[in-house]
Amino acid sequence: MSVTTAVSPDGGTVTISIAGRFDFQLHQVLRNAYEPHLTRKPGFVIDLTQTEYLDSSALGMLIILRKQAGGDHARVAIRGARDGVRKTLEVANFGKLFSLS
Amino acid sequence: MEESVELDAPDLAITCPEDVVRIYSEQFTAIEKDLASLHQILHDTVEKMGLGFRMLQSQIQSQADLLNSMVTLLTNATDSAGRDGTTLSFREFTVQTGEILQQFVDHVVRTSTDSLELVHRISDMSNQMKEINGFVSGAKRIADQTKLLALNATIESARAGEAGQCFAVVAKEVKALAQTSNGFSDQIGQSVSSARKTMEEAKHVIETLASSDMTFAIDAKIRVDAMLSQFADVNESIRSRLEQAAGFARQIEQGVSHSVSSLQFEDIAGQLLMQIQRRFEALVPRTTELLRRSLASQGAGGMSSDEIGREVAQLRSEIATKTCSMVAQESMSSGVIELF
Repeated sequence: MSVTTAVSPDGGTVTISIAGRFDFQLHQVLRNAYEPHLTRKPGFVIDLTQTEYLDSSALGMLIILRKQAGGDHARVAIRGARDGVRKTLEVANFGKLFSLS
Repeated sequence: MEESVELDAPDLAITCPEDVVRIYSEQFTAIEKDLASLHQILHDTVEKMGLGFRMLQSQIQSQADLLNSMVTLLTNATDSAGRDGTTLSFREFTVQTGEILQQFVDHVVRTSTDSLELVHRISDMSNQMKEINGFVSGAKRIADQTKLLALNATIESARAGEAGQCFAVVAKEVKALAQTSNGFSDQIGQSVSSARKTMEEAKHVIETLASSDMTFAIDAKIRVDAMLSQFADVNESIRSRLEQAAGFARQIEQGVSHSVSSLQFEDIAGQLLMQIQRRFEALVPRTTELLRRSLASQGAGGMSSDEIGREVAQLRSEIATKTCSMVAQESMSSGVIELF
């Protein structure tokens, strides 16, 4: 499992890619990945293309990220989720909080 | 009905013209009796068939009602039938189960979020405690330097002799203050360490809570959703088959109705039989008489062929007037058919 962060040239979008298992073990790494960017209020893209599994604490982490990034005003997109992961996100009603693609 | 086969009986040997008349008369009578029996049998049988068809109709009606109620039970999605508190429709069961599971999933996500936030906050506090420890160390360094200064001041005051004695008292007090400050710093350091230890324990507990994978709740909802969808499919297929069965029941009912109305042939057949009987009633005595007289024509009281011709013509017109009023309705398809 790994977390990689990429910032767009204009600094407006921060893309965080998560590979392998997305679970509690990543909570501090993920926090360290997005917290430094929060002051600029960028849009976030969570890339789950390489995510094999996503557990309930990962859902909590994504909600905290959204809250920190501005709550209802936050721009957080989740993309590339595989079928199993996507199903979990859908059942948790994440389609209402994030843009899923 | 045994009479109708007496023609073949051996005692019917014809020996004189009177025998011919007798046999003729007997056979007419037998035919009349047979017709009457036929009429009765027809009437009885049709009555029984009517009764049977009516029972069939009522049973088919019950069956159709049953099928329709089952279809309604399986269908009622939006109507109020399931909301009266006594019955629970399948669809409502599905909706309610889905809602309960969704609440459970929402709760799991909320718990996960809250416990992770706690982990973050405790982690932040732990870092702040580290900073306090740094400040305490700084305070201790200052106190140590102050002690050193006080020592230097004591040495310098001793060298100054008599004039430095007052200063020595001040240096002693400063040293005491530095020691007190150090004591406080140590206490603060100990308290902070102890607080950090407690906080680490709390962090461990909350991490255990936050890291517990509650995804099974989400998986459960996914599985139950799939099962409910399968149930709904099965339900729908049962419903459509029941509807088909109800359709068959309606067709059977129509068929039975047709059969019942067809039983009215008994009316017409009965009238025709009655007409035949009347023809016989008119025909038998007169033709017997005619036959008797024509057979006896060689003897006294015999009839000439002209007389026979006149008698026959009169008979024909009498029969015509007796039967003309009957069976105006000659076919079942004409006229309105009343159900039994």
